[in-house]
Amino acid sequence: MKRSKNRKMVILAMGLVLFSSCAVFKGGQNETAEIKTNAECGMCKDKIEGELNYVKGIRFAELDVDSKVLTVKFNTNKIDSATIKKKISEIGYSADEVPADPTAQQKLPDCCQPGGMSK
Amino acid sequence: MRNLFLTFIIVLPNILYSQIEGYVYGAIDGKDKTPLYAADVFFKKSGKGKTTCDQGRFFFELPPKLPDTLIIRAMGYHPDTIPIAKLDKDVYLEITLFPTSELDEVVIKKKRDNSMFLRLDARNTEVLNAGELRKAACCNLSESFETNATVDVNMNDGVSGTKRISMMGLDGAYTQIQFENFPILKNLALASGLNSIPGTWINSIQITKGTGTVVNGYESMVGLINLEYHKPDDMERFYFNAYASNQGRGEVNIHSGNQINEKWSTGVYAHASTAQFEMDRNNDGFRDIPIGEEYVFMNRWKYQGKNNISQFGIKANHSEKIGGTIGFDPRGATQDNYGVTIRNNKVELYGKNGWTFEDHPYRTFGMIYYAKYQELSAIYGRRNLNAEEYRGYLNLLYEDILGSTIHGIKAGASFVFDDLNQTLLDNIPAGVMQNDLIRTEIVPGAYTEYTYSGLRTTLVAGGRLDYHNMFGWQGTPRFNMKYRINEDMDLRATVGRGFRVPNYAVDNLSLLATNIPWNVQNDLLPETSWNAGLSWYYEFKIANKKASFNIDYFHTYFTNQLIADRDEDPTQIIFKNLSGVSFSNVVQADFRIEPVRGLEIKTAYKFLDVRATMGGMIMEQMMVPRHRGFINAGYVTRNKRWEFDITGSVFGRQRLAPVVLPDMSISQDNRSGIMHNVNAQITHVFKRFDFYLGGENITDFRLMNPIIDVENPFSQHFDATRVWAPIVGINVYAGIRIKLD
Repeated sequence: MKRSKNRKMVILAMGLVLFSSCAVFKGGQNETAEIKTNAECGMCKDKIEGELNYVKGIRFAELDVDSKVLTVKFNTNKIDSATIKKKISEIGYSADEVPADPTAQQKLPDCCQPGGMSK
Repeated sequence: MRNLFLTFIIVLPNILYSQIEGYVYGAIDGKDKTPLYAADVFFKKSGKGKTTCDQGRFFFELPPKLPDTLIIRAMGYHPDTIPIAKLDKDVYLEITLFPTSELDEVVIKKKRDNSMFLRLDARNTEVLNAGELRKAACCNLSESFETNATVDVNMNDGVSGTKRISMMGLDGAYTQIQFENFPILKNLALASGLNSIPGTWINSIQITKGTGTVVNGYESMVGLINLEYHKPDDMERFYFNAYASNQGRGEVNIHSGNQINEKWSTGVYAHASTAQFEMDRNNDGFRDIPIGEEYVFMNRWKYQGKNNISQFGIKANHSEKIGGTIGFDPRGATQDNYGVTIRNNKVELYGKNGWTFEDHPYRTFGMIYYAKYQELSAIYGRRNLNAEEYRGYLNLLYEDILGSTIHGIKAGASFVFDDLNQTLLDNIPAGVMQNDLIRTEIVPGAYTEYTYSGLRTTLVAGGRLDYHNMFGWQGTPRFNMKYRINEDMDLRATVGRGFRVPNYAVDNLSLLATNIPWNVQNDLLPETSWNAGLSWYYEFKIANKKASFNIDYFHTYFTNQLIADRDEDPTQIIFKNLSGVSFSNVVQADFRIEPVRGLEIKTAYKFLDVRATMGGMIMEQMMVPRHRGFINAGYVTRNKRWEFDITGSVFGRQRLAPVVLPDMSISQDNRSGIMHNVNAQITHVFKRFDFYLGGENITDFRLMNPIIDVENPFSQHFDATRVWAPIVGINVYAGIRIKLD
């Protein structure tokens, strides 16, 4: 099989994309915080992760439903843990010492309300 | 247990006391789900249980004595049972109940896994869901199978650019393709096959090995592929996808779902694609891929009443592909250039209705109906096929239980009408000849299927009897069994018969890409076969990493087959009934593991031994490799915003047709080389849109001289059928998906 120049170019281009996408993850200082929430279930997990993973500065957010602990890795140049906690509150959940925003909490489905699990 | 979607979502570690937790959903139609409020979830023996809260959630302590059977019940839905053993204590269950009017078969899914084996199904079934379908964003449905080892995708010939699927080394014609349980892609529709189905319209695909169920007909001889489209009441309000590739292909898909009121919903789907670059990288004067365009449109409606559900829709399709020599224009004044033009127009109407009975929650009655008109014109140089088909299909299905939900019964009647008017006119060096195929098929039939769902054993035994107006009575028994050895291991067995009435021209359309005359014998009979299989599934952990292993063996034996014999005499292709034997033995082993979080690796190896009597000897089937290897790795970052996917396939040597070369000698080297293919894709996910960039055939594997006697396309030696690898080489594409809820 004859190979073409075209192919090398493409591999190079794809490599570049991969490289640049990795580069997005670098730069700035990373910090990992563990935040205790009052999230109740898998649906809460999807909701919190679905919101926080799109917030600028957050590398990833992952909730462990059992322990209700949210692990957040973020860039300290862009966001701090107080802002993250505020975001969680705005979604409708408590975050460590920050209580849940009452209006947002009310909008959550019944199962995600505090104590919704044991209903 | 066939109505149950069971999902072990996440294994929850560190549970101090045994508890059970999960969600109950109602499936309105195949894959649509709504959380079920106030569903009863309780144990049969201990009576322990709860009702679900309004997100369908349940959560309670397990009874001390296990195993026990968990019963899940909700008004208007088929109740379901699932055995729970001690080992199941730390799983999350996701249970989907099917409405009593549901006609659809089981679907079971495992969340976060994009493809998996259905552990509850008695059949050997694998599901590809939307996540898996996103991995191969390129083009159309035939590419969707490229991240999967069960279904192979092959090039048809060197000039038409069409692809075909195969299962167990046997052509896609022996696999029944269903659109939400309507058998589709019959007769003329096989010419374009899965190429005419836009990938983004599909929500999930279920691939069943073996003959499957008798409910949807007799034509699934080696496998069954069911396609679930997006449903009007459970799809994005607006979805837009645009795609472009370096091969000059552009594509747009739009779909939109609209809930009009509580009962009515509607969905509109549109696809347009075009390819306008004339590529000839091997400089043989022929287009490496044809140019052309395709439009597909669908509108569907759904009515959800108290005791009935109705769905109906219309689908229309127009496609035109123009291949052949550079500069060929089918509308041009002179036709001295060799060209290939395939035009396809199709209109389909379909509908299904289901009724339930309030005082008999397990009893349902369903009706599905389908009508099609299709015209096909395929011109390969000076060979001209014109065909027109009317098709009608009706299936009535009654479903109930016998005493308890352990014994289920289905019974029904079906009716197929197919009117075909087809002419093949050849003006080739061997002379001018015409082959007509004009026939009207009328096939009434009746069937029944019994299901036993025990704690360990699931058994489905069915039979159908059809009367074909041209070929008489056809009996189709089918049997599937699953035995659950323990929590991690299943054993499955299947055996069944199938039959189909072939269309020698459409089934072998790519054999028109040569000037060798066709010798069609006039007593062609239906193809009949037996298929039997055994499979063993094992789920385990390696160093605490989830892994699974599946191995299966399938044997297909044709009692009659339409043979396109090129061995008897290389100067003609003889279409005849099988005289001798034709069989396929296939062993496939799959191994999957998640070595680190977010990374899933799938590997597979397939051994194919597919042979038939051709030219008086038992010969290997053409274009079927003996060995096939497959590896796929998919990685999703922890924030789920980047998805990386790479797939590599290797196909062993294949037998090629012996032909007479321009120097009048008969080709001696009739083995292909070893072919490999690598595809990769990167997807970046944003909240409302995704962006993807990918490459197909990244190593740029291609045939340099795929066509024999390419300088003289109207000579008797011209042959573009010995194409065992891509001609076109690397394809780089990019696209965007926009979703608005």
